Amino acid sequence: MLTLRSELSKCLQTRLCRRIPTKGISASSEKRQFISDDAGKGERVYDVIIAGGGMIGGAMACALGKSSYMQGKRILLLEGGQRKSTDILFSPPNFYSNRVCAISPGNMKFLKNLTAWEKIPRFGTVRKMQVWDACSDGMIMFNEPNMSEDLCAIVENDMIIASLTDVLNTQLQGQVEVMYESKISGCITPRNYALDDTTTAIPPVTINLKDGPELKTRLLVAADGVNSFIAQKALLSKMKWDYDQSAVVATLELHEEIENHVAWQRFLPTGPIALLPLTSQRSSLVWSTTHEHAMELLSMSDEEFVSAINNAFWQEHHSSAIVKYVQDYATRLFSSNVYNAKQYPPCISSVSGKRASFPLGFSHAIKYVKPRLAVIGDAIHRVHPLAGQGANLGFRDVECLLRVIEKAVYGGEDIGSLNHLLEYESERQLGNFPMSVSIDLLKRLYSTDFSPIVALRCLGLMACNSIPSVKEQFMAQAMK
Amino acid sequence: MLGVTCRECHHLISGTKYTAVPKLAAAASVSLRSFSTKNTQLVWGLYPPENTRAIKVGSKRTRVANVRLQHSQHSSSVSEEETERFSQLAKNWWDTKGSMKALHSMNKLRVPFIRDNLLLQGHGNSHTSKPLSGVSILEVGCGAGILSEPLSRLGASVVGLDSSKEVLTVAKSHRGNDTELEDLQYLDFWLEDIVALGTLKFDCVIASEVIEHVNNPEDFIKMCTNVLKPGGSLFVSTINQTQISYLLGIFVAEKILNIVPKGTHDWNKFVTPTEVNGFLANANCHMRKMIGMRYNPLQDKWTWSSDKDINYIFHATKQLEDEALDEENLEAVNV
Repeated sequence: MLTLRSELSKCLQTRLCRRIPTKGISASSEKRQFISDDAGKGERVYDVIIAGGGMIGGAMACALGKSSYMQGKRILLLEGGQRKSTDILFSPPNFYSNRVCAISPGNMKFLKNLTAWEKIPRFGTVRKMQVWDACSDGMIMFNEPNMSEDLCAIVENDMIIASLTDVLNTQLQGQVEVMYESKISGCITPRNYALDDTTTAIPPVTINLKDGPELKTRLLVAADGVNSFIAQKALLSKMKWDYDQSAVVATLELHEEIENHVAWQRFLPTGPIALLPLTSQRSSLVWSTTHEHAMELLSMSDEEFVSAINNAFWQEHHSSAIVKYVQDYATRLFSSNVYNAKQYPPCISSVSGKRASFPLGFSHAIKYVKPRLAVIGDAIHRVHPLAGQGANLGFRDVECLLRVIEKAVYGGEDIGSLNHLLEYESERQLGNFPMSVSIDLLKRLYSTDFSPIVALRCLGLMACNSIPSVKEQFMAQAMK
Repeated sequence: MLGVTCRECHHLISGTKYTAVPKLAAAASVSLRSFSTKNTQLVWGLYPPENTRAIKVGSKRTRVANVRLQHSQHSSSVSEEETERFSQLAKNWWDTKGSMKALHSMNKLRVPFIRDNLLLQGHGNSHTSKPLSGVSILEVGCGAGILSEPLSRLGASVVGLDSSKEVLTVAKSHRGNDTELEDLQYLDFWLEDIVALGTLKFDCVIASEVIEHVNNPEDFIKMCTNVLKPGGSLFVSTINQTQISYLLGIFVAEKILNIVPKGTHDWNKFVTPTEVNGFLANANCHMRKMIGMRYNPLQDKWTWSSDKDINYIFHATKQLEDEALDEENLEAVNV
């Protein structure tokens, strides 16, 4: 018995490390040895391993755990960090975390289906958005008529992660295994689409943990963020470049209590500054600016920081003659509605909590899937925060992959088969790529104060603002 | 010779008219009686346990000898020539872009068809990860397991038969040691052997893209229904015998587009729905559902079609023991 087992595992090891086409096919006897977790070697075969326990990885784990089609399948979530406490859901701290994300109504519904929304104790709602240019009078406003519907919700990242952790702890204990403080040190995935020898099934993915057992899985879902270790190991090629910008984030106190349901974004020559509503007296700041300016902003005193923010929103910038000319022309061309007159954001009085900054860049994976591997979230797309779409795109990935996996499993397919993974890739490329590219384009368009470009973008913005169908298209895309 | 060690000899013998030697049987493996069908001659023999192996179907266990059956006559279910042709293709059977690609993509239609119709018949549990748990399936002409593997993953107890040893070897190799496919067995027996065993009955028999390769389709259907439990389901997918099936199914598919290897199909062996209805009536089966399937070679995609001129699939059930066969039950339910 023992020798047969070791023979087989040796055979499997060879297949994983070197793809040698087996010459003859050994006559197998009816007595088969099965790979189980008591193989005595610490090998455990899972159906799905999700690498990365952030918002997107956590959501994937919950979604798979809750799916009736995945009952009885072995699911494992690997997270490198420590288990996050869910106390903040029940007794939220006074201060707000400075890392927030915008959740679209579609994704809100998705999280509700995972029962991961109800427990979130607090979030801001955006019912109107005003986006305007510093170098011109170009402006666009988004809102449902009469501010009836929410455009998106502003939620602290920590709250979402805590809520997903809570679902995993309380509802999915038997269904989803979670391993914290598990750093992945190695990962072997089947590389080619068509293996030389199709007479054997594609071998499982092998994952080596730093201080842990070797794990095998039929499908590896990589949700390990922008610098995905697994994407690198699997040689997933990406288009990527850095922006010469960093985003400065902080939570701000407003001068007075208002009905805070408007998101403000002004495009400065150095980059956009955005104010996202949290409560009646608090908003979150996301200021994308040059690296040097970001350093300055972090090091200045609170009062200086506050006045820098207020100036950024209120200060008039000089616009050149060309721009003024185009503006007048555009104003005459597009009849502007009275209620669309430009408004000014609320005044900031102080900063609450710490300021932080992180560098910005663009990346997009050319392929999202390989045999037995699917990548989701920031690992495949990294976008500029100007459109607030980063988290949204990630949740859409989760929802699509879940649907594709459920259909495949219910059709008896091998869960790691490329057939259905390619469906996920096609669908999400269609969703992610145009959005990523548009955001990049917008960033480039607004990163200059070269007059003709300013004039052009002013024209474009005013046009979008005036043509309802175009505006509706944008809103529909962003609110998915 | 096919032999049986009689751990369950009482069980096996009950229901047949042969004498038994229970005392001896209890003590050791014992020869019981001889039994013959129209096509095959079998002798129950004495075999030491190491020359036998267990077949487990659902919860039922049977032991059979590791000996190849000697067939005295030509088989209705196996054509030597066809077997040889398919054996050549064994190595590339699982290449999803190779010569079997149409069979791989057909799974997107036939697995849901089989699954949903079995669920409709009351088997298994819908919308779970093992919707076909508790269902025993015999797949005749399983090849290298393109259809057997998904059904096994869905929880069914699957036994696959194929006449080609090479292809079965590939099937076993592809199945490997996957725990998901624990309940999937491949036997290089003919359908006649399973019929002759007499006691192995299944909830479901599947013969997908097989009946157009057998020598005698009517006998084949009879044998399939023979190994079904009363009320059991029969699923058959095949190609219609029409002008267009010659044009597209043979001329274009084999000679022009190379979707299937040349010589795979013989138009004269194609079976029409009318003939099928006749066979089923003679075998005391009800036709439940028959649908056409269309293949798009450019996208390698199958779609359902109301038109059965080329490919079609049907689901029939064997009559229950106490059921009388009336005229109305014989009407084919065409979708």
